[in-house]
Amino acid sequence: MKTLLKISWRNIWRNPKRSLVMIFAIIIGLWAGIFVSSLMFGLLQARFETSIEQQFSHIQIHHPEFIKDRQLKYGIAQWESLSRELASDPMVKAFSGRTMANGMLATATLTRGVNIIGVDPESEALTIRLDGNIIEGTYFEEGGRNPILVGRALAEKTKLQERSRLVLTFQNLDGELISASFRVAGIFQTANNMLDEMNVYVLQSDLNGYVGQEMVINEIALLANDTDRLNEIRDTYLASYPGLTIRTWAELSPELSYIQELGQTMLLVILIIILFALAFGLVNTMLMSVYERIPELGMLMAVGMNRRRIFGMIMFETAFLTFLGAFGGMILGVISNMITGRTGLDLAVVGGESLKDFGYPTIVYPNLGPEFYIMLTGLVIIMVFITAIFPAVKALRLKPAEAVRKE
Amino acid sequence: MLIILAWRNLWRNKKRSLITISSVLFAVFLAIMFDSMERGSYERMIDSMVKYSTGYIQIQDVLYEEEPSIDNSLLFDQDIEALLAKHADRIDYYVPRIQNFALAATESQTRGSYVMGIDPEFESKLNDLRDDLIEGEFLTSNDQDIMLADGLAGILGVSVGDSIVLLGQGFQGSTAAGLYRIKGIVELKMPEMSNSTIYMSLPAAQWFYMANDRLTSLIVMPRNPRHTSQLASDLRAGIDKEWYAVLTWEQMLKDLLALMKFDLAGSMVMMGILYIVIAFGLFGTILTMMIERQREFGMLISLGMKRSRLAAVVFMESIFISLSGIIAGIMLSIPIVLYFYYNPIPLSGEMAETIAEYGFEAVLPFSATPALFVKQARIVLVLAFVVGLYPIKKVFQLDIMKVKR
Amino acid sequence: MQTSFLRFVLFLSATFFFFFDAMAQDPREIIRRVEDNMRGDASYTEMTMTTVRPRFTREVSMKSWSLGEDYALILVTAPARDQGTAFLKRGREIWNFVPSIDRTVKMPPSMMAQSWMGSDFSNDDLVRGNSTVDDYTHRLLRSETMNGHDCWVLELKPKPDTPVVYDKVIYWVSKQYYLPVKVENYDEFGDLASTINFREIKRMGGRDFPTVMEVIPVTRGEQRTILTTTKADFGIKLTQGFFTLQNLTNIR
Repeated sequence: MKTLLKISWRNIWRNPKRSLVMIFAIIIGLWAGIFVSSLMFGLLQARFETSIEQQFSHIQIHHPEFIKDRQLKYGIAQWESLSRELASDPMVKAFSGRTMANGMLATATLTRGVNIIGVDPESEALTIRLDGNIIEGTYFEEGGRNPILVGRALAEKTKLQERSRLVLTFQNLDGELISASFRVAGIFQTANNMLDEMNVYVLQSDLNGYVGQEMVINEIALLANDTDRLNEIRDTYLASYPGLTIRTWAELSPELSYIQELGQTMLLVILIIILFALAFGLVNTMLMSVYERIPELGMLMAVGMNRRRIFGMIMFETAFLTFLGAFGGMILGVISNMITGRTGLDLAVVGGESLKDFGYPTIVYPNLGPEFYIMLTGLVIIMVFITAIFPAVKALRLKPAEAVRKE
Repeated sequence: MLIILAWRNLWRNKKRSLITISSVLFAVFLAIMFDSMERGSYERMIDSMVKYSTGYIQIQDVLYEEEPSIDNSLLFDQDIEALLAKHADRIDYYVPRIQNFALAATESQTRGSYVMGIDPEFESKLNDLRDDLIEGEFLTSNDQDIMLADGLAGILGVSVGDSIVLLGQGFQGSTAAGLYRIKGIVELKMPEMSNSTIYMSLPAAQWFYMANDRLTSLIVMPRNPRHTSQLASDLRAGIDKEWYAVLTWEQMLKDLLALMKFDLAGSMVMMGILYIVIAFGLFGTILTMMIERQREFGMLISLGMKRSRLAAVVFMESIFISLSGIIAGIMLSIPIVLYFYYNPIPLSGEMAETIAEYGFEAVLPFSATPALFVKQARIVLVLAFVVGLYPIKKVFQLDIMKVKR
Repeated sequence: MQTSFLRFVLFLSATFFFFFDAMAQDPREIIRRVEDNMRGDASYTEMTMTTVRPRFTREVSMKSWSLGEDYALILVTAPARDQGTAFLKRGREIWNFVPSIDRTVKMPPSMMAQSWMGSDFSNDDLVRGNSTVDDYTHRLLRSETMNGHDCWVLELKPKPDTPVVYDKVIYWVSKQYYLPVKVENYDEFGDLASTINFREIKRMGGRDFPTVMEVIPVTRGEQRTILTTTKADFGIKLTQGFFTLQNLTNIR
């Protein structure tokens, strides 16, 4: 056995150039494949995390009518008891209740429809990190009357700036129209330009002051500590509050889960295709090598080396080549991922600005989930096996007498 | 003479040549499949948008794009008709539309909605609206009744046979008001559209908005979509530019296209990697071939063959191999691509459901544009060319003395 | 673009003017007097509204009854297609009666920003009333002649609570009549957003008031709305009971 290994090893290096080319090809191919997959994976993940972080959170709770018709009057009546439960629930990391009204935002030059979201600054910051997205001004930090946060996309269209004055018009609980002036306290920017144009944030206390006697909460968003148990959390609360609609992010945005799934499938397909191409090249090369050595093989057989050994020798040769290449490729892949994974790649440079419109951030951190590395390794092993078989089988079928005489 | 030599050389060692050719074949095949899949999705999405939203070409009032209001509607007069007739050989059909905002009111509720005045006959050529009818009957071309999207019908709590009031602003400030009976309910996939759309016959809508002979958009569908830009510029040349504008789908879908371009760029990178891998494989094969024939070459050169001639022969050999591989690859991929083009791979599970919800068919589409094949062939040819240069170099560098085994 | 202006409804119900000692230079006082002049009890007016646009000009004629700031009933008399259309305002709510379909529809909030009858007034402008005395701070800038009138020029700035989009309003008040002559609305960047001219002060129905009001929003093309009063009666007796949904459909 050991001699066989040694012979195989040495055989590879008898033709260093060819072997190196092959190994190099595998390294490059695999590394590139890993890199691109990681990029895609990173992009997917970034999109996912951003959407969760900035938009959906893990679970949302609404009055069932609110989903169809987003009117202020469809509030969550059980807000008090629900908030107490959520606050004391160890599975809930953070939650935030919001008052939501549709209204018009007017400046001296423009009037636009907006979603007015009244929030409690503290809990909102914990839930969707709005405070981290402020690019101008402050996050409700200054005192001052009726502060409002507007998105950058909206600010640009309406020429709003920090300290700008604007008028919000909306309906209160009695159906009456209320107009009130607000001052821009800060401008925020999330990864989603479309949302930035539609949503404006005001203090819950301010909004409810205009809206009616008691506090109305239309939406509760929460973050869980364990993302794998979302369904469980949802069901628990559904049991206690059957009249409410409680949805996980997957239900809120089927397209998000679709994109996740699709993305992962595509990654796999890409990797497989690349490996396939590599395998083919490898088989070719090995076949060539076998043909080249027909006389030699024939000699070996004539001299007494049994077929099984020859088979094994060829197999090992292929295996070595492949493993070397695969190993190198994977190491390169891991290293490049470690480097770019930390600093991130800015896609805006290659024209990725429009990503923002669809909710993608432009800075991506390539990485590949551990499952992928495992899968990759498995695939490589399979590939090795398959590619090694052909040439080896070919070698087996040689007839020593003919082989020796072959030119 | 050299060519014949090269060709014969190839067949001297059948197996080796075949292996190399198959390497190229495989490369071309893979590249084509990959590209076809990418393009398939891309084409399908564009197709959807064109069918349901913009059409290939639209004639609009010159101010409409910037300010889409009923005041900026175009007059569908004899001049336009004449223009369309003039290019009738290239136009498949056209779809007139008038769209505007209106208030829909029942006894108890009032709700903002979007009225679409359509010609049912022409509209059906464009998309399958007729198939989306779930209750009642479809509009006729002069209908005084209306159809509601299912979401809106649900919100207002009305169904076939009920009447609702439509109130809005008409052309040049006039009041638009009318009482309309609901004739049918249509199921629209996208929620935003489903919750707000009302369909009226074109004449009824024009009367409602006091906009006789006026349209907000006139979609023109060319017989051959490839000639879209040409047709558009011809139409533009014949139109009164002070009043009208002619837009192509590319202009109308600018944002969507920008995003897709980015997506495509991503897959370009992917393909680039594929090519590199393939190139290396090809290279390895050629290399092996070279090494194998070192003795033969050494012999030829020492017998007096000029190196340049040998190099030429070798180069041509690799070109032949590549060409054969490419042709074979294309021939193999054509039937397969065509098969998937007509029978796209169906997706299943949740993914499929989600896609369907948005009105798309739950399949993995393939593209069969000829350009696809040509492009791939060209790229692989270039690759083969580059790789083929190596043997040339080798020939010139060959040291005859060292070669004798 | 919809503009917000000071008192559309008040204009419909102008009331007695007082001759006053021209020595009243306190800006707040000036504004208060103007507001008193423009604020009214009951009134009946007949008007024509001309909407001018780059591509067309449209004229609408109407009869209007109003009581104070909170109640108004408007009946459109021309053109033929719109004849019989009526609007009822009570507080901040508006109802619209359309005779061709014999229906009364309440204007939903989403429509408030839309233009009223295609003009430069929005539905919201019809219903919103801001007290120029209480909701603004006032400053007297200078005196000058404007449109043939000797005027005080005042600068009004809305107080923080006031739901008004303008940052500054320049107000020309006729010293003789204590009526507005011209109003300029500025946004927060100091750019002019809209201008309102009050012209042709006439005596009608027992009072002097500007019979032509012209609103010019700042836009690219030719765009403005002109409201011309052709007849007025300020002695009419009206009560809240007049402004009902029933009357909305019955008014002729």
